[in-house]
Amino acid sequence: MSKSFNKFKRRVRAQAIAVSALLGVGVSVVSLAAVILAGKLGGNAVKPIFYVLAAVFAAALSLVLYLIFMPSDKRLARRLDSLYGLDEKVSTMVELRDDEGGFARLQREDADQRLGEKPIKSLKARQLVAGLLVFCISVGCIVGALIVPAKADGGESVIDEFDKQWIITAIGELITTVEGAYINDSLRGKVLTELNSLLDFVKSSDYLSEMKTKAISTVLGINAALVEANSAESLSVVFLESSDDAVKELAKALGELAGSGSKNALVALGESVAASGADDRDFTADEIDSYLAASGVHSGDTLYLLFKGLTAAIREGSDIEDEFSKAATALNAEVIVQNVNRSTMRIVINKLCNLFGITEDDLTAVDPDTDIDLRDPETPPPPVPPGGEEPDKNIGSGGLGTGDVIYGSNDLVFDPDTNTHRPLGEILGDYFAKANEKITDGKASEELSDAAEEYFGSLFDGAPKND
Amino acid sequence: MENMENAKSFSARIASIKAELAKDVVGNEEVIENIIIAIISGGNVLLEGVPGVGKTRLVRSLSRTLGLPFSRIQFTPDLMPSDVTGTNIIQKDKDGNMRTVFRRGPIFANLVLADEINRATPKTQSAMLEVMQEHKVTIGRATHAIAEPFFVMATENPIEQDGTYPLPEAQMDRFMFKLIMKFPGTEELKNIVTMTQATMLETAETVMDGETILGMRQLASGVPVIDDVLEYAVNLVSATHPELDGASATASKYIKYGASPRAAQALITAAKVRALMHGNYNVSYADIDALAAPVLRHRVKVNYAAINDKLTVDDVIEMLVKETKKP
Repeated sequence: MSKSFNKFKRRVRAQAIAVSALLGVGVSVVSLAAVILAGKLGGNAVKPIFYVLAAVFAAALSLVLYLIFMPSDKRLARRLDSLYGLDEKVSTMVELRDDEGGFARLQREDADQRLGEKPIKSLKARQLVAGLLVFCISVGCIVGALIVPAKADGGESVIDEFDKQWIITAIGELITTVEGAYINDSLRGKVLTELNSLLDFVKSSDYLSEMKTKAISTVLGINAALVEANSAESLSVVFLESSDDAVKELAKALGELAGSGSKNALVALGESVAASGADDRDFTADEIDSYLAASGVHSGDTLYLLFKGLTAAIREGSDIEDEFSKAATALNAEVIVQNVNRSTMRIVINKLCNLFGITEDDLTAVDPDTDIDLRDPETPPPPVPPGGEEPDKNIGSGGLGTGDVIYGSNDLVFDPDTNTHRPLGEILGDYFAKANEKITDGKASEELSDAAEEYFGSLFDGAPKND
Repeated sequence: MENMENAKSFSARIASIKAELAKDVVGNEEVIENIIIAIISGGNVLLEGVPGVGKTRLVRSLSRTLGLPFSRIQFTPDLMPSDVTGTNIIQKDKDGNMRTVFRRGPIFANLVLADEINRATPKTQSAMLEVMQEHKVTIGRATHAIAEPFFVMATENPIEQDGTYPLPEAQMDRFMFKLIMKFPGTEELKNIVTMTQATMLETAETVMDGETILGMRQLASGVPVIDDVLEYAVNLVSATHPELDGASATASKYIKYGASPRAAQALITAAKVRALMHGNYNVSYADIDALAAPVLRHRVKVNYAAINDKLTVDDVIEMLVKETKKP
């Protein structure tokens, strides 16, 4: 065969190989991408045999396509004649390649010369664009298939390793917080048990939904431990049901959940009980015992023991006021601890809920009776005052602020005792009431009384004064 | 080897013939080329043209260029066959004995112009056509061969058709080509007038002889034709037949009856000569397409639908060429 024809044939062969490879590999890769994607969506790993099959398929398909795309000499000759306007010279040359006659040789020479003059670059690869397109699509498909995260049965995503580590670190920080917090030891123990259990689960799990379920259980467990540890509220609720006025007063004292409020109420109650008759005292003691038993509060609980001590003193009928005074002090301390329990657990619970995307609906779905408050415990939003004015956010907690504050006004400040925003005038009124009590009781010295009167007098222009 | 050298010089020789003819004949290059093809192929030509377009001059000039004897036969209704072929006459020899001598007719030439053949009677036409086919004349028991190469160019006057005997299709099939000499354009007419004002004589010179033409004919027969081109030529001829299965839409609509197998033979034979003439050593589709009209126009009969649509036979042939697929 002529040199020129062989040159064109080599070019066409190279083009056919390239196009066949592009199409063959492209189709095979698209098929593999589909298998990988199906596996990931179905939660099944793609076995190595599929990769081998894909490679074999690519090779076989490329070979078949090569046989299709690589034209025969006759077809190539036709194509060259048509492309270069050679009047069937190349076709005749190919057909007469084995003819040794004079005309055949002359014709071959002429055809070879004419073909040799033609630019080989004009011979473009057919289906090359299609091949490139299929190959690019296949690259996109395989990249997409590899990027898509695998799903578990039921259609869930495997958690990203980076996110998992972040969750583990966050739980670790919570554990450290709880370990160092000024909270009840038994509460600490229970909360740490819950948190460590959650941590272990997160380390062993790959699916966010499972982690969330466990986290919901942890949150409810922590809340239950908190409820158990913070007995003041439980006791307050049951004591309110009593028909005895003294027990009801106890409930109110507990319900204050504020140190000075609870303490004063208890002292006043001690005086009242001490002044009552024996029958009344016995009734009060029985009521307290009865509701203590009904409250479900653990017998080793601090407040439980405190009230048990009170009932003993009431029955004995001696040193009632002293006992109530001591109880008041102990109660005050315990309430402070329980406040810290609450605020610390609120932080822990809110952190866990933020970490796992737990909502109040998620919690009530598991435990309809739960009353977990997911507001941010550190900076609760100030309520809008009755006048509708926005509170001044520059006002710090418990304070007189920047000096612009109009004393005795309705400006809101954070009251750490009640953990709410209350009008400044109201808080100052409480302080004045306590100071005034000491002054009127004669328990403060004359000089201190004068100073207190002058001090509070200057604070309260127009503030309500307790009588 | 010598043949291959002749093959290489084939187109140059044809170019020299054309150059000489151009001295005496203005225009009609396509007609001249096809006539040369027919001569070299061994075919005959039916030439149609109005009087005065140079038919006789062309053949005469051709005879000078090719160095071949020429005769012109003017056909009239009273022309007898023996007037064409010749006849035996009784003659006294030098010894005084009476003997029969064959007097050759005008047909005994290498180039014969049979002018207005449609004016002769069918009997005379047949005698003429028989000689065209056989290349010999048989009178009594004696057969007289016509010298080769033998070429007949017959003319038909398309204007005066009264009292004529149009050639039947079967007879027309014997002609390789039907060529049409058109009235010259303005420039060509100016050139004709200018040339003939100077001299009416033909000035073409002899550049070839009969033996060379026979050699060229032999050479051209060896030009290869690939199967694809052969198939195309055959398909083209078959496409003229509306009665065949898979007939083309054009044939079904416009053709009454199609070309005979002689058309396919003529196509290939003439295409070989044309290929060599153009410096090619193989027959191509272009050769077939160029010769389709001359080969088919007198062999295909169009129907009333074509006449109604104002389509000539050449128009229909052009449509067939476009419809016929090349392998």
